[in-house]
Parts: sequence; structure tokens; C-alpha cells
Amino acid sequence: MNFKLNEVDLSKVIFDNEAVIINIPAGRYYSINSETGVSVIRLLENATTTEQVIQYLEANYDCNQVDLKTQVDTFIDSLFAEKIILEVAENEFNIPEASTGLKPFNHLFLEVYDDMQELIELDPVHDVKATKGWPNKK
Amino acid sequence: MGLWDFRSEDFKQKFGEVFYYKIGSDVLRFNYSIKSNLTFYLESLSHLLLVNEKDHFDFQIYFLETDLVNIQVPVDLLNWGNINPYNGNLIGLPTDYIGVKNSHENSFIWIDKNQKTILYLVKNIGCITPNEQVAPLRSVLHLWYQDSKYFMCHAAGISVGEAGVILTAKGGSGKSTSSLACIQNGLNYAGDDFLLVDSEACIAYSLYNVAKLELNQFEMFKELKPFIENLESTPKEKGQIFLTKIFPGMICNQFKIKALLIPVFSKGKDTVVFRCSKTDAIKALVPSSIWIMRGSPASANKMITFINKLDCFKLATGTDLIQIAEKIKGVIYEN
Repeated sequence: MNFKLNEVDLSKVIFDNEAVIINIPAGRYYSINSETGVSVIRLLENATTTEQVIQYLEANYDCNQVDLKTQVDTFIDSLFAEKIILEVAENEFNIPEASTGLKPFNHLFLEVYDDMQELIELDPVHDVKATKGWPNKK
Repeated sequence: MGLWDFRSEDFKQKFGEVFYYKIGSDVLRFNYSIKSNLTFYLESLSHLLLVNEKDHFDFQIYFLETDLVNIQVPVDLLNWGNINPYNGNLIGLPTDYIGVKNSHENSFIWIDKNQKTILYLVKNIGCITPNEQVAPLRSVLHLWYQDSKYFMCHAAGISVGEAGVILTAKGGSGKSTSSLACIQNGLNYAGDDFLLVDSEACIAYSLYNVAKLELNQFEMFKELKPFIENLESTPKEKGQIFLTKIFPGMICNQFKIKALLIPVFSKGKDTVVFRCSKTDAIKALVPSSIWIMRGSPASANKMITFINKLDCFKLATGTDLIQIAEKIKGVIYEN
């Protein structure tokens, strides 16, 4: 199964140690606050399988003390549930340039912010009787 | 696709009053019916009024209350399947047109880009939400500027001379308190909630000279309490004051943005400024600016590019209002 970042609904900015992703129609935004998590997000800019993510992390991070499969599965599940990544048909995995030596592994975690969701819960369309349409307010 | 013939006598006769405003670097011609009483609605734009302008304009708005003037939106245009549920945009229009239905305040906006003309229909002025009442035309301006280098920025603006800072955070974080502390202590004010920002040149333009505070927050600004214009609506709504009336000459219409500040309330007396990350600034500015205006991913990307050009700080505000003004002045001078 290939996953890729949702290019339509998201706005994102990726720095070395933190990525901020805004899911515009959902009214939620997210932070991935670790270098390891950011590297996974970069991988998912191209369609990639969970196995390829694990393979990449094993090759570049010190994962000895980590249940890597569980961590990656959970992280990918979170991204998919929030529609940050979508399932796609084609695989586009690009093996990034290998780092010299293994980097420390940081816990993969998606921080979800929904503190502004109320701003879009005042729906401009559906706050009326659909059968009557504009301008008949409920 | 021209649904209304803006040049026809039949259309023009619906309007009797015209004002010209300086919006950003543009001149806006605002047309409305003599049947409408918009005195209070337009007050927060009064500092942008161009008294001597009579001919030139860059774009124009025709504003009508449909309860007062007979004008209809074609029923077949409002096909529910063709309305974007996120922002009310009519889907599938030719690129020269934008149509937006807002059922929450019973408004309809139609933009004809070629004619640089906007038709803004509301059922009546009372239907407009309190937030839009104090920030008139903000939805229209967002739509008009959304494909340009400008964006509607959910931020306060404070300046000294031609340089200033924007203060951005979600509601209740201290933007208005900090802004009023500044104008009371000699700094210039460009707004406490929304600015028009040129994302390329990093210039902030004032839009509204209104300031809004919860009634209990006016205890910090007791001398301003007699100027609350909507006392009858408080405390359900925030108290509004028009600063051109109280501090004439202290409203700044534009300034070069030197830094972005994120206000947070501290528990002490003192105010402290410290650097923060770009991601902190993005989280403070972009989500609220986007979702209040129902902006697009492209608008968000424009804001992110803008933030990347700025120095970003947190402003932990204390109870000593003079210190807030002094710290902000310090950031302006040092950047």
C-alpha cells in the first residue's frame, strides 16, 4: 500500500526539526516535532510504502532499542486518519542520500491542534434550510 | 456570465451614495443605497476615507440590503450541489468571476474581475455578524485580494513612524490590550484584529480604527470606558471604541513590518520579549487567518512565505501597561 502527502487540502512547512501541516478543510493543524518525524514526512512527499519507511529508518537511525514497526505503523495510521496522507496507486519511493553514521532515533509523534476548529464550524452553507436556499435562514 | 449590468441605468438608480476609501495601495469606490443607514457600519473605515476623490478608483463595491432594494440572485445559480461547503464558493464559474454564498449572515458576494466590480448583497445590515460589523467588508476584501500578493492578516499592528510590528495570536491572547497600551503611550495604531498585508514587501495596511475589549478589560483602561459605542450590547459582545475619535492623528495607515510578535499573558507585572521559532509564528498566524476568512492552501502558503522573512518573538505581557509599550518600541527600534 502506497501513501503520499495530500497535496490538495494541505499547507505545510518543513524545517530541519519540525514540520507544521495545516489541514485547511478540516480546521486542524499539526506539528511533527522531531528530526526523525520530519524525515518521514519528507519521504511521504513521494508515494511510499510503510515497509520502505521502515527500511529507510533502519538504514539511517539507531533503532536498536525501538519497536520500529509499531512506531511507524502508529504514525502512518495517525497521518492517514487525519487525511494528511492518502493511499495512491503508484510507488514513487526515492531513496534519500544516506547519512554518514546512524542518527539518534526520536519518537514518531503527530501533535494535533484543534483549538481553532470552532472557526469553521459556523458553516456558511448549511446553516440554512437546503430546500429553501438563500436567503432563508433557519 | 455577467449576471448584472453594472452600467445600466436600472442598476445605477438603486444607488445614491458614494464614498472613496484608500485600501492598501488601492482606491475603493463604495456605492450604496440612500435607503441604507451605514453610519455605524462604516465608522471603523473612517480614517481611510478619501474626501476629495471623485473619479479614479481601482475597484468598486455595490452594497445593497435586499430587504430595502429589489434585487435578486438568480435561483439557478444557487444549486446546492455546486456550492463548496467549506467556504460557500460557487463551483465551476469562469475564472473571471467569484460567487460566494454565506448563509450564516444571509449574504451573497459576486465579483466580476474584468469590471473590477463587486456586488455585495445582504438581507439587512442587522444580519451581518458582530465580527463583520466591526470589520466591515473583510470577507469581500479577502476575496478581492486572494489571488494577489496581499492577504487579510489576523493581527494587530503598532508602529513608530514608518516602521512597526504585527501582533498575532488567537482571540483572547492580548492583541487588543497590547495595542491600546501602545496608543496610550505614544505609539501609532493600525488595528487590533485585522490588517491587510503585502506579503512581498512586508507592508501592513490599516483597515479598521476600532478596538474591542471585554467589558471587564476596560478596567485597565478606565478613561476609555465613556467612549464605548455599543454599551447596550455588552457584555454579550465586546465593547467597541473608535480610536480616530479618541486619539486623532495616532492612527497609522501603513508601516513596514519589522517583526512578528506573539502576545501571551504573563502572570507578573513585567513584560518580557524573547525570540521564538518560525513554526511558533506560523502556528500563531496562519490557522486563524485562514479559517476566519475561509482561505485556501495557496493563501496559507503566501502567509508562510511572508513569515519566513520576519524576525519572530514572544511578548509575555505583564500588568504594567507602560512596559508593554516600551518593549514593543524596543523591538521596532532594534530590528
